[in-house]
This record gives sequence, structure tokens and C-alpha cells, in this order.
Amino acid sequence: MKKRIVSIVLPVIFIMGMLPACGSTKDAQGEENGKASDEKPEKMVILMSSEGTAPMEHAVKTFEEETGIKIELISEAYDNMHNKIMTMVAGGSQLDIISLDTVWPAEFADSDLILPLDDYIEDDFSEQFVDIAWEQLRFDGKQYGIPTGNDAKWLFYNKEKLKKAGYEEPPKTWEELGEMSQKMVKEGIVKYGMALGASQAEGLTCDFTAMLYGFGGQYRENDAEASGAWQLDSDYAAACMTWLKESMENYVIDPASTTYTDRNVMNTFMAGDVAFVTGWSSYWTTTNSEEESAIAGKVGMTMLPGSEDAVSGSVAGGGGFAVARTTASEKYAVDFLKLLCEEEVQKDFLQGVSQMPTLKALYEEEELTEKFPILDMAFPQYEYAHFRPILVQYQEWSTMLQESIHKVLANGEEPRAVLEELQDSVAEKIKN
Amino acid sequence: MKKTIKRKAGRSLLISIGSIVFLAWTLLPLVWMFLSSISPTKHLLDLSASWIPPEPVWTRYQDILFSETIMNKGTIVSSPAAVFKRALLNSIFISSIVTVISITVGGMAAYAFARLSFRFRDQLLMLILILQLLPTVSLLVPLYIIFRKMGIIDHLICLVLLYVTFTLSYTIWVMSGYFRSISGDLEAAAMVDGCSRFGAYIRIILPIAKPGFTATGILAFLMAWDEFMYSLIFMNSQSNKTITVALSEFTSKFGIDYGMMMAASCIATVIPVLISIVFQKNITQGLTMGALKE
Amino acid sequence: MKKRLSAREARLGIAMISPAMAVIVGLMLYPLLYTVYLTVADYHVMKGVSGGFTGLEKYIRVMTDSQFWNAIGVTMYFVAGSLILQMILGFAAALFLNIPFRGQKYLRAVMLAPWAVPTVANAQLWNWILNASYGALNKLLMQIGIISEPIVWLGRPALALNVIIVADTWKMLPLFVVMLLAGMATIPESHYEAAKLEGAGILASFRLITFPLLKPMLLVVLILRTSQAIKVFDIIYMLTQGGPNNTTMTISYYTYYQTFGLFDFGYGAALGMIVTIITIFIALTYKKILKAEEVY
Repeated sequence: MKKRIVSIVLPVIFIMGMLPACGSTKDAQGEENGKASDEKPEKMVILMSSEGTAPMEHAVKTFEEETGIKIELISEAYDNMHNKIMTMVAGGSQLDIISLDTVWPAEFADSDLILPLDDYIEDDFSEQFVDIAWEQLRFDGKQYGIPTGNDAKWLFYNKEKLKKAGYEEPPKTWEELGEMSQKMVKEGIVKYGMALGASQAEGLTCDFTAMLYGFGGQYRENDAEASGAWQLDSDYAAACMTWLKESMENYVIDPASTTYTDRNVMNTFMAGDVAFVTGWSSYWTTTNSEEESAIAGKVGMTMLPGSEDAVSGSVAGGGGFAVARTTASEKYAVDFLKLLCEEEVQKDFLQGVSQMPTLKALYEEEELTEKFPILDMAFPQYEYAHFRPILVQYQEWSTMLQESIHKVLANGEEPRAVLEELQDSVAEKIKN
Repeated sequence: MKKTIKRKAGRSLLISIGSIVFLAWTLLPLVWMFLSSISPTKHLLDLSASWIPPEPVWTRYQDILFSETIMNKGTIVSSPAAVFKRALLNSIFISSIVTVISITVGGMAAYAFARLSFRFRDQLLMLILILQLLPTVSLLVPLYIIFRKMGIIDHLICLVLLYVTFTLSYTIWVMSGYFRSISGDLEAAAMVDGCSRFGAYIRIILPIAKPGFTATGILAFLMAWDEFMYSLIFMNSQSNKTITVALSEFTSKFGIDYGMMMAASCIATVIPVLISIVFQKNITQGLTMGALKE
Repeated sequence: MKKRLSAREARLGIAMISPAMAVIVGLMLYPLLYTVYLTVADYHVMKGVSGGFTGLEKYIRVMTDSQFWNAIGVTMYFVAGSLILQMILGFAAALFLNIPFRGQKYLRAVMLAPWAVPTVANAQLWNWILNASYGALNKLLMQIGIISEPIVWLGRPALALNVIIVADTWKMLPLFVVMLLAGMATIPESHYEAAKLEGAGILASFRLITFPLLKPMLLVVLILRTSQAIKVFDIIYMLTQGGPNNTTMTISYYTYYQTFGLFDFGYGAALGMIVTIITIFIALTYKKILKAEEVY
């Protein structure tokens, strides 16, 4: 046996000698990717999440007709996007435009995966957008993406169940939501008060962010300017975490929540087993679909609850598109991004995949708000929507937070102790 | 006399219980998959509903296989039929080519490893075994760079090459054992008659080894059908996706509709499961002959 | 004359293996060496290899990474749990299917079906069966009256990994059964008759005849399954993404997370190398424990 291993290792070491050769070819290829020209390319490649392809196909067609550039549209399941982008760019394939989730700009920009767009956009270009939508794709003073979807989390509630329990209005604070839930559970109206998409994934970070702000807290001393020391073990965070823990134990939150994603959490709500669910704007269309939902027409949408210290707290979602480092032409890629900001295209996305527009004007257009009542319902929440921290090490930070929340929700550990531990390890590992 | 009857009754009772437990374990999950695919969503989301839907709905299959667009909960899902049918064809095509290559190229190599002596023979065979243990994830980026240089990213040929790497290792391992179990006399006789070594392999050994080739071929087909990660990374356009990737992407479009997901799973499952039942004997042989010493 | 013949044979041998070796060396060995190289090189996703060497830095980082050790623990639990469960059930099923009775061939015919279900579909299926609110398992248990409240199978740290083991077992058990059955078929009936004459019971003949004679076969199955189980990824990816509270964070999922989640390809590669070494080590250990002869 020993002899065999030796005889395998020897040729391996021998071949190792050839390796520097591969290293240098890789370097050459890096340079070849680095430059992008303003010349008109023959073809451009777009990578997007497979949820919204139909309206995108319309936009692609328009662009192809106008410019004569052929567009290859690659759609991937959202969960696969991150790794697809990485392999394509690292492997040096042509990729011009990629979907950019809210929390990606810092990380992608730091890894040189995407390009800043400032040279190609006019100074007043940003003014047409809802502020938060534009701001969230900035990093380090540069604009890395053009926003196309303007999402946040709202509270969806089952009007019928609330009425049965004698409530006319949805809750204004989380405490109130808890009390209402307990009453409804006691009276046998629902199985649990609310469902959360709290599996170990990004959706959990979103919900926690919304709640933390709802309880009056924030992640750092000054989140708005992304500065200040971490304060993950603040009294607000502890109050929020304690509320979550207690709610899991007394039927306010469905205990199966730790297995729900922020998509399939809708099932429980649509089946009428819970009265509340926190969700993105797309929940409105889905939970109201006659065919599938047992509660179609009974759904209410309102701001997420707050507390004594805050009116409401929500989290900014959505995102947009960015230009990848491997683009054939920055100029034409940005031209395409601009097309996505036209009113007609945004309307198409609203109609087709209920994606909330990022253009201010559309929220004021009466004809549209009449046709899509969701626009009016949705708008007030944006004022209270906050970013998740803008960090190069965002994924790592988010994973640490998710683990801590699971320690409390799934293991039943003490909130204070868990938060203090989180504060220490974040302060140590995450560069602010 | 009475005692033996009693024992016989006891024996057949035990066998019946055993059979029921065995069948339930094996088939119930599959049955549930199928039943879910034909139950209305509201029925699925009701814990007190009957197991078998009173009114089965077949529209999901129709939607997946024939419709141009599906309205799913207010969201338009474009051309699922085209994507899914295309993915099925791609999988059938790729798996078939992989099968053919791995039995021709692999069979030849296996024969050499079994019968001919050359330098580093055993070491090379060992190397092939060890390479099979590598975790896929860490090879992805180097492979991507290689294929980009060859210019075959997003071409079916790229998947064929990748799948061949692991089916080849398997074929060589199993078939070389199989060839060793065949007596060398026949080739010796043929070679005395003026046949070359290679000629003997083609004319004498291939016909004898047919069962072995059938078995490894079917297994190669199934392995290629099952692969997910490579296909996910190396295929881009809708028209080049394989069935496993189409299924996973489908899941994210219909992420909350379990009925739809089960219908798609059924479609992706039916071909390999049928193969497993029809060719059960060959597969068994393929799985075991690498391990059995004759 | 003889020498010339063997030289010709050697040339033919090389010729016959070269197409296969070209593919294996080009698409497995070369990427592997490249990966090994990246673990000791200064590597950046976009800029590629900068030319500097970091030596064993990444490996030292792996060794001091508590998440890595957690993942090793989870993986070992998964490997041991699924192998033990599959071995016990596998023996039970194989012994049962080895009894000649009418209908046996039908049972054998459907036996392989779970194994043929594509991994992605299998994960999907079990995700639905184990769904806490509407899944078939809770529904069944509640109808029989074993439980009164739904159990959150995939959300409880103590349960999640165990139910994933069950899901994996459902798909992989047929492999064990098929292999063991084939092994049993090679044991001559006369062995058992002789044992019976000497007064050995069922258990004794299992311990003295069946088990020892199946050892080589068992070794093959164990090595095969261990190398597969250590790589477990798809089912984790689709069911829990490592949660709840990292109790299902297996080493290959952790490698994936480091590589594609954090874009740290060099570190992911170092993790991959360590997993490979562990797998080889385990395979060799088995061989020692079971003291079997050459088996391939």
C-alpha cells in the first residue's frame, strides 16, 4: 500500500512543476478582461433571476430593435445567482449586466466584479427615483447599480380572522400583535398568530432588521451613515429578541417558522392558519389569487408594527442591475440599464411580476394607482424602511446574525447572552 | 403435522408483514409525490383533507408540458413547456452520448488494465479510484477556466466531457474486474489463429462481455441523468439546460406551490425509475460486479 | 521473441488507455493540481493569481476555524448515522429478500425505484413530506394519534440532521440491499446446512457464516457510501441550507458557502483538499479494520 501511495505522489509532484505555467495564463486573461470599450458590441449577455423574465424579454426586444445589438438572456434561480455570477466573471466569460440585490454592491464592488457607473450617468439622473431605491445601490461614494425594483416588508393580515376576534384595525405595535394573536389562538380562530420566514437564510436577516427598527433600535450607533460602533447587544435588540423568543413559545409565532423561507411562508397564511405574515410586495398578488389562495379578497396590507420607541420599522429590499467587469461595452450596458428605468418598462414589470416601481412619478400617476391599489398602500412604508448594513463582509455578517437568532429561536438560549456573544464576534471579525 | 402447518402459517404471515413494510417504505413516498401532483392546492394545504384527492387535477402536467405561459399567482412564467421539454431532450441526449463514450472508451481501457501489462498500470488504476473521491465544488473554477479556453461553455459537449470523467472512472473500475473474471483461453486460441490482440478484444471478448457492458452502460446513463452541480454552472441558455437544473429553477419560480413542484419532480423521475424497474437485473449486476470477486 | 511481444503488448495497453486517461488527467487531475496550487497561492477572484505565495496559511486557517470543526462534526455524524442505519436496514431487507417466497421477484423489481429518483427530485419530495404544517409525515402521525401537535422536523436542531439521514437512507438503501443480496448469493447453501447439522441457530449462522463471508462486499459498500456521504450537498442545499443553528452545516456545504457565498475560492479549495485527504484516510482505515484482501 505504502509503495503505491509513493508511486502516485511522485508523478503528482512532477506535474506540479508545470503549474506556474497555468498561473501566468490566468494573469494574461485578467488583463484582457479589464478593459471595456465604448465600441458597439455585437452581443451582450444579461444574467437575471428567473422570477421576472417575461417583462425583461419585452425590454430586450425593444433594445435589440433600437440598437441592433443581440442580447443573450440567462435566467437563474435566485438562490443560484451568486455562484453563477462568480464563476462566469472569475472564469472570464462575457457577462455585461447582472442582477444586483440590495446587499450585494459592497461585496461585489470590493471584489471588482462590477463597475461604477458615475461616468455614464447624468448628474440629475438620480432625481427621478424614490430616494431609498437609489441610495441602496451606492457604495463608497460611487453608484454601482440602477434600481429597478423598490421593495420593502409590510404586514399582511387576514381581515376576516381579525373581524371574528372583534378587531377592526391591524395592530400598531408588536406587543399589540402578540395580544391579538393570543386572543385569536385562544378562541380557536387561527392555529398561530403569525408566520415568519425564519429559516437560516437572508430572509431572516430582513425580518430581524425590520423588527429591530420597529423596536426602536439599530445595528450601529449611526446606521444611516454606516458609521459608529456596533451595538448588537443594545436594550432594543434584547427587547426584540426576547419578544421573538416568547412569541415562539406562546403560539404567537408558528414554531415551524424556522423552516419557512420568505417565499413558502405564504402557504400557512393562504391556508388561513395564521392571521399575520410579514412579506414583500409580491405577497399582495399571490395571496389574493383566486385560484390558489383560500383567503383571496380578505387580505389587508399595512405598515409593519412599531413600539413605544418607533412608529414602524421595515427593511429595504428590491434591487436593480449592475454592469459586470467582463462587459464588452460599458456604454451600451448602461444604455440598457437606462431603458429599464423608463416608465413604460417599469409599468410592464409591475403588471407582469408585481415588481414595485422605483420611479417617483409612477406613485403619483392617478390612473396607475387606481389600477394598482397596492401603490397607495405600499408608499407610506418606504419612509420607515431601512438598509441592512452596507458591508464588504455582508454575507459573513448576515450569517453570524442568522446563527444567533437561531440559537434563540431553535435552541431556546438566553437572548441577552447570545446578543453579547454576537456583539463580541462581530466587533472582532467584521470591518466596519 | 399440526406443528408444521402452524409454522408454515407463521412463516407466511411474517413474509406478508415483511412485504407490506418493505413495499410501504419503498413506494409510499413515490405515491405521495404523484398524489400531491394531482391534488388541488387548497386540498394540499388542509391537514384534515383526504389522502386521495376527490377530484384529481391534471392541468399541472398540461401546463408544464404543453402551455406557452403559465399565470402563477399573478406572475407570468414564460414558456415553461419549451424549457422543460427541451431539458428532457437534452438530458436524454447527453446521457445517451455519455453512455456510448464511457462503454467504448472505458471498455477499451478496462481491458488494457485487466489483461495487458505496462508500466504504472496498477498505480494508474489506483489514481483513477482516488480521483473519484474529489469534492466537485473545489474543481469548478479551474474547470470553468479550461472550458472557456476551449470555447465550449454553454455547449452540450462540455457536459458530455464532464460526465464522462466520472462514468469512465466507474466503467474502468467495474469492467476491468469483469474482464479478469473471463478466462484468457479464448483470446489465446484466437491469437494462435492469427488474430491480433486488439482483434481478439473486438471479436471474442466484446460479445462475451455484453452483459457487463449493458449493466455499466445503464448505470452511466442514470449517473449522467442525476448530475446537478456541473450542469448548473456550465450551461447558461434556456435551451441547453438539463432536467435537474430545469427542476431546481422551476422550484424557485413555483417556490410555494408544492403541487406544481411535485408534478415537475414526477416528470423528472419517471424515466430513471422506469429504467430501474425494467433493467433491474442488469443494474444489480452493474452495481455488484465491481465488488464481487469471482 | 517474448520480450518483443510484451513490449508490443505494453504499447497496445498504453494506446488503449490513452483516450480514457486523456479525459481523466485533463479534467480531473489537472484541475485538482490547479486547485492545490490555488490553496498555496495568493488568489483573488477577479485578478487571478498575483504571483505571491501564501504557503500553508490557508491550511492553518482551516485548522483554527471553529466553523470547520463544527462542519466536520456534523459531517461525521451524518456519515456514521446514515451508514449505520443503512447497514442495519440493509441487512434486514437483504436477509428478508433472500428467503425464497412467491412474489419475491416483484419486490426485487421495485426495490431500486427510490435509488433511481434524481437527487434534486428526492430533496424536493422530502422537503414536502417533512413540511411541518402540511407535510405527509405529520399528517400521518396525527391521524394515527401518535402526536397531537405537528413536529417541526427540519427546524429543531435535535431533529433536522436525523430526518435528513432518513431521507438519504430512503434513496440509498437499495444500494446496500443489492450489494448484500449479491454477496449472499455467492455463499454456498452447503455452508448453512453444515452449520445446521452442528446445531447452529439462525443468529449463530449469521454471525459465523453470512457476516464473515460478506466482509469484502461490505468493505466496498462502506467505502463507496462513505465517499458519497462525505460529499453530501444537494439535499442540504435544498432542505436546510445548513440551519437550524448550523446543525446541518456539512463540510461540503461549508466549502460551497466559503467558495460561492463569500467568494473565497482559495479557502474553499483548501477545505476541499482536506476533505479529500480525510476520505482517503477513512477508506484506508476501513480496509485495515475489516482486514479484507484486495477487493477491486
